[in-house]
Amino acid sequence: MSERDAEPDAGPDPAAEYALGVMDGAERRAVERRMRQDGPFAARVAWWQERLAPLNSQIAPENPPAEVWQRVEADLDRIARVRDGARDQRIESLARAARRGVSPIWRTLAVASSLLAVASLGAIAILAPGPADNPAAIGNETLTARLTSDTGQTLFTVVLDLQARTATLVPVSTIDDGSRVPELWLLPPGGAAPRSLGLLSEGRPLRLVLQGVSDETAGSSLAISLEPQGGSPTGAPTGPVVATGALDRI
Amino acid sequence: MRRGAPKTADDRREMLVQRMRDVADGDRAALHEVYEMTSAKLFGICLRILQDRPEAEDVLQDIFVTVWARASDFDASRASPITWLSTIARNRAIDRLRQIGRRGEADWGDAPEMVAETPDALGQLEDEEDRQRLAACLDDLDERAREAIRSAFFGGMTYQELASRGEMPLGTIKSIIRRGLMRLKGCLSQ
Repeated sequence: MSERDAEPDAGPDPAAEYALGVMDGAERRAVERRMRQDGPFAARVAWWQERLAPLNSQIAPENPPAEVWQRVEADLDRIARVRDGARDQRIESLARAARRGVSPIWRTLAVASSLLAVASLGAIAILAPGPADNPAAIGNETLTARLTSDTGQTLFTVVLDLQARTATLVPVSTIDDGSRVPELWLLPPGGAAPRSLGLLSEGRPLRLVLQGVSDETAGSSLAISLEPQGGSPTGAPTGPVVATGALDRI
Repeated sequence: MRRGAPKTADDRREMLVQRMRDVADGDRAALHEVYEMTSAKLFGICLRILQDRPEAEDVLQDIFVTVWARASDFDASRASPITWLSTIARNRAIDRLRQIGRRGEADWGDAPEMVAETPDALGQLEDEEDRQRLAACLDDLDERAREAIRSAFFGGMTYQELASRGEMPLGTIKSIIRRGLMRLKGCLSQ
């Protein structure tokens, strides 16, 4: 009996197979979700990554064109604007938009979103005004804007229909936080229980009717939290709040 | 007191660790230094996997924006900086490849750009002992397993792609690689 015949048949080893790079995209996402939830498994992936990494020394280096660094710098500038300098410009540009009829709900949500964030998601913010990033007018009654993470990833496209007084949040990319999904909440004033406005997930646009908010609701806040698939099991936010914003009278 | 460019591999590694800490503190000049030290290596990795210069350039850009945002995740006590960076590069390049699909018949074969024995200057930042141990353990595998594992690693190829390329059933290539990984694990754990 040869040595190889004596070996037991090897079963799957997702940690090794992930590190080796033989998985398809869906399998890779599943492994990454498991890594976030299963510390010992994540350690096994890291073990394999470190053990295989010396193979990289056999790949010949290649100088990238200089413009790649310039593009990195442009991204860093954009991140810095979102983080530090953009708030005032943003308020100003949104105030201009508001004078054209944009609802305060949008203004406050956007501004507050950039201020409160968890590390896993990064700051959500509207990008600073720029040729491509400005809320763009489509005709007279529709405005669009992008909600972007601090790594430049567009999370939601927001379409404001001024005539119908609706804001539609269209998820662009999945928020990469394991199996959790963002859920939008209305937080009534005075500490009453939050009310779910729906999940911002699975590629489905979420439409908010702005005119449905009564005087009573003025003073409420909006919040986005990360919840298990299907939404909060308890009917109240259970995960980290990644964005909040005050809801003014509309 | 040492000034100027660090001379030894240990010095370079220590400098890279320090620069990564500076990047975590928001030091942009430090990120540029990390880029200067590592971008050719990381671009080589992206290019090897993607076989497409514009795609590799986009991924490289993405890698350094990621490094800027996530440098605080780097823990020098757990991994060498070049391992950490190379792993990000590999993962980003593979994810991009899965996203766009493989275009045409890339040259997966003999990998002429690969140099078999001598690691480059940056490769020497890896622990030489780890490198030799991996080489010895790979040598221990039978040739089919060794070649399949190398092709998978260097080309970022899926089981399905490896099966088509080797003109063998999917189950066969999975079995070859899984057995090889199991043996490799045993050898590397000693």
